[in-house]
This record gives sequence, C-alpha cells and structure tokens, in this order.
Amino acid sequence: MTRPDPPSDRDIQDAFGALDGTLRDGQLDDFSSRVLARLDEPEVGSMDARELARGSGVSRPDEAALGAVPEPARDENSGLHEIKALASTTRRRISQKITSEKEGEDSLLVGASSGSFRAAALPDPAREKAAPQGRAVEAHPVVVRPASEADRRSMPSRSSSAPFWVLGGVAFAAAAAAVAVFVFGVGRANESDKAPASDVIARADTPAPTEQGAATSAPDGNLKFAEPPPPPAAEPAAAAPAEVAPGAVDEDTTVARGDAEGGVLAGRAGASAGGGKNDEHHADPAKGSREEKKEAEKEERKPARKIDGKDLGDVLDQVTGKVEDKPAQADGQEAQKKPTKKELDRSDVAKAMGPVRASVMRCRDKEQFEGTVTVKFQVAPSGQVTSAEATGSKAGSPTGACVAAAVKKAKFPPFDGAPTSFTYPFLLAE
Amino acid sequence: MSDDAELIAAAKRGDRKAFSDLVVKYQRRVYLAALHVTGNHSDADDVAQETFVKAYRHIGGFDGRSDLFTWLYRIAINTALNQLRSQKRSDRLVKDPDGDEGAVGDRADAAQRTPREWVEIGDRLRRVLEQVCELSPVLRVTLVLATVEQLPYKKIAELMEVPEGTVAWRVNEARRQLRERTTSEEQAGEETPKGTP
Repeated sequence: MTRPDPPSDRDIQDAFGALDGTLRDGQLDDFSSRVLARLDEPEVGSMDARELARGSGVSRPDEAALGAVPEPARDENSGLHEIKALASTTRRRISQKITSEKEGEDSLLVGASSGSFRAAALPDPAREKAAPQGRAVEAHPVVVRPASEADRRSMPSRSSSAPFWVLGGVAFAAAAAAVAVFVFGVGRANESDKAPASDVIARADTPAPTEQGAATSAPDGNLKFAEPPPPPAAEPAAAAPAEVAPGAVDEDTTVARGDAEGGVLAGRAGASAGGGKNDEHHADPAKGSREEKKEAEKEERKPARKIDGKDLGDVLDQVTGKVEDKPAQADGQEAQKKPTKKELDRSDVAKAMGPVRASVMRCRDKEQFEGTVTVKFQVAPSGQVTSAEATGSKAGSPTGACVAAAVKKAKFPPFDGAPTSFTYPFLLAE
Repeated sequence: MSDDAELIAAAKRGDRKAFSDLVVKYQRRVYLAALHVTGNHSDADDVAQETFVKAYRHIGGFDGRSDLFTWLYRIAINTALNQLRSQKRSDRLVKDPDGDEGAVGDRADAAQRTPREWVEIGDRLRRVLEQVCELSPVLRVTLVLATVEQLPYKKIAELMEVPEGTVAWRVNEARRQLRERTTSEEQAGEETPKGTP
C-alpha cells in the first residue's frame, strides 16, 4: 500500500494562493467606506491591552489601553463632511437593503457585518411591512453592555445630539411630575367619591405610618398613589427626577423609558390590582363584578401598562396636553380599550427587548461569546413570543439557543392582526 | 514611510480622511492576512474591518516602534484568532456549498464562495484548505504564518507572543495532524466502497 502524501508546504501555498485568487476585482472598493461607517459605532469590546502592547511595541500594556487613546478631534472643518455623509449613506443603504431582503437571506444580515444592521429591530421582510420611516431614525440597537466612557467617546453623533437628550430628559421629568400631579388629583377625586369596598380595603391595608415612612425614605409612586391626603405639589415634582435618573441610560432611550415606566408603575398597578380600580364607580353598574374581576385579571397580567385602566401614554398625553383630555373614565368601557395597536413597531420591540438584556448578558457570560447573535422570533397578537431561534452564524449553537430562549420570555403589548416576525440582532459585548 | 508617519499623526488628531488613506493603502494586505487565517471571505471581511476599527480607536497607543503594517497585522491575527476561538466554526470553514456539508454554516457558504470559485480552486487544493482549516485555530494560524506568509519562526513568536520553540512545535504538530488526516481520509476512501452501497 502506498503511503498517501500529506500536503506539502508548496500545496498549502498553492491552496492559499488559489484562495487569494477568489478575491474579486473591486471587492474591496467600498471597504474603506465601510470601515469609516463603523468608526461611529459603539465599541463592541475593548481591545485586548496585550494585543495593543504587542502591536505597538509598548512595553506596558496599560499605556496602550483605552485611556491612552486620544479623543479624535471632531473637527468639522477637516473635510469630514463627505466621509460622514458617505458613512451615513452606506448605513442607510445597508439598512434599506436588509429591510427589503426576502426571508432566508439572513446571511446577508450577518454577513454584511458593517454593524449598521445592528441599528434596528427589523420587521420580518416576509411580511413586507416596511417599518415607519420616521421611526427608523429612532431605532437603537440593544447593546448588551453597560454604557461606558468609551461609548461616549466614540459616538460623535450622540454627542452632537446632546441638547436633544437634555431637552428630552427635562421634558420627561416634567411629564413625570405632571403624571404625579394627575395621579394625586385622581386620588383626591376618588377619595371624595364613595369608593368601592375593595378600594377601601386596599387603603386600609396601608397603615399611615408605613406610608409616611416609605414616602420619606424613598418616594414611591405606589404609596403616594394610595395615600389619601392631598400632597403638596412640590413633593411629586421632587420625586420624579429620582425615578428618572437611574433610567437615564444613553444606550436606548426607548428602553430606558420603558424601564422608567415599569419602575414608576409596577407598584402602583399592584395596588390597583388588589381592587383599586378607581374608575369602578364611574362604570356602568350593570357590568357588575364580572367586569371588575376581568379588569383585575388584566391588571395582574400587565401591571406596568395601566393606571386606573388608562394607558400610561394616554395619561402622559393628557397631562402634557398632547391630546384633548378625554372625558375621564366616562364609561367602564374605557378600561377595555386594549389592545389598540394595529401592529408592533420598532419601539415596541426595543421596549420588549429591554428586560431581556440581562438574560442575554448571562448567555454571553455562560458561553464566553462576544459578537452578534441575531434572533428571529414571532410575536402572537396576545403579545407572547411564540417562537424564537437564532439565525446567521449562531444558528444552532448553544449561544444562539441561549439567546433565543431569553427572547422567548419577552413580553409585547397585545396588538390586532396576524402574528408578526422580527429579526433582532443582539450585540453581546462587555 | 514618511507618508505613513504623516497620515498616522493626522489620524491621531482625528483626521478620518488620513485614516481612510491608511485603510486604502493596507486594506488588501490586511484582508488577505485575515483570509488566510479565517479561510473565507465573509469572516475575512469582518476581521479586516474590525482590525481597522480597532486600529483607529487605539492609534493613539501606536508609538511607531514597529511599522504600521506589522501592528495592523498583529491586530488582524489576534482578532481572527479570537473570532475563531469564540465561534468555534472551524468545522464549517471551507465547506463545499454544493454538498450536504455546506448546510452546516449558513454564513460561510452562502456569502463567500460560489461554485465557480470552487471549481477554480480545484479539488486537490480545496482538500488542502479543508485540512488546514480543520486544524485548531492556533495550529492553523501558526502553520499559515510559517508556510503561506513565510515568516521566520522568530517573527511568528513575536506576533503570537510565544517562545520560538513553541512555534516550531506548533508547526510540526500541524504537519503531523495533516499527515494523520490524510492517512485517515485515504483509509476511509478505501473502506467506503466495501461498507456502503
């Protein structure tokens, strides 16, 4: 038997030479523009300091660590306009390409790798429902890592929109204060009315010293909401920033807002779930306790979505004067207006993905993987995720399965219409 | 070199145009280095992009003691190695998209190589590539650096930050494993007609 020849060095060189030959002419033509487009993206992971030290000849790795990197000057007179425009065009082009691609071409999504696709949760192209254009600008990636100094450094677009964030923060604080005022107003109104027995029980369960203690130690919407005496106007206003501040994450305002909503409302809804349907006495008495029971169940299921049967958005809109003040709880049907959404949009996805981030982060730690995991999932009209699976390079991998399992636990607002599929890229990085 | 120095200095000041010029200058070499390590165009593109992005973000730490390409090359090799290690995709690199094996990795086979390219490469060379890419990332990279890039062991040792002796061992080990694979493939090829219809 003749002994088979292992590949010689020459064979290996030839093979890799042939591989080089598959690099097509013009394949790298837009490479530099793609690189430039990525420069504005948040840093996926900090570079290994050893890597830098080795590369630069720096003897001490810390010299080459992030701190040693100078902030590239944002010189608007340095001819960057064309490059920025090119970068944004490229980003937009890739984004549009992705949203218009047919299902089954997820490889493009991943293979594009410019990172631009991370900028959005993508509605399933199979449904050919382009996301609202206006929202495309707002879309943010779910970057599974805490906001770092490096992020702020490397995001000129973010720094240029600083006034927007400041204004947004102020507006949100004002809105939160207004909500608090509104809520107190409702509380007072309810107090003056004859409250249902369950409401009375809920209040009786909250002894005055506890309320006071909680109110002084940590301003809590729940306790204040249940608190009968009319508070001074300054108190809720002071409480609002304390709730907003922790949510002031610069990664994703939509998610941050969602978190803030949850934080403000979770306990409050809990109180109302215990029978505190304050609009009950406005409701048609014919609907009876069946209605009340139904509502209580609804409230239990979606504790963060409603205040007194009203959607938070409506409450905010009312108190900020965005929409006309509806005849408040004119009838008991008001509480049953959900689901009102015709379809889910990007902001819904961003909100729903927010609470999932921690689980996804655990996947990163568990699987020791850093990079992008794209998950395709389907949401039923009930708001439940009915299926989720990783696509692209992590399809079928333990990391993909882990992230998909996390996504399955996401909760969306109920909506009308057919189940909707989304493709969502998670960036797993420190 | 002086051009590089000026461009690097400008890039350190945040001049993206200067950095763009550097990218254009080195993109092909960096891309090919990444291609040799990753074995497919998609990953090579990722790695090459990531290399330049990292370079831009950390160019302030580049002190010019080594030349820029060496620095970029090191970043590219380490980035590629990290990618290979983390994604453990050696089993689906360089698979024939026409065969069943092609279904293993959607990314590697969908976007990278057309059947025409495979024909171009030829069966023999493709098998060599497959065998090399089946090696562990570290052995693969070491072998590629030694045989394809034809770098001296000393340089490879610097790049990979290991002793020269380790480099030599890795190259020998890679060759031994290639030999073993070839033998086992030959044996399997002889047995298959008997065992399967």
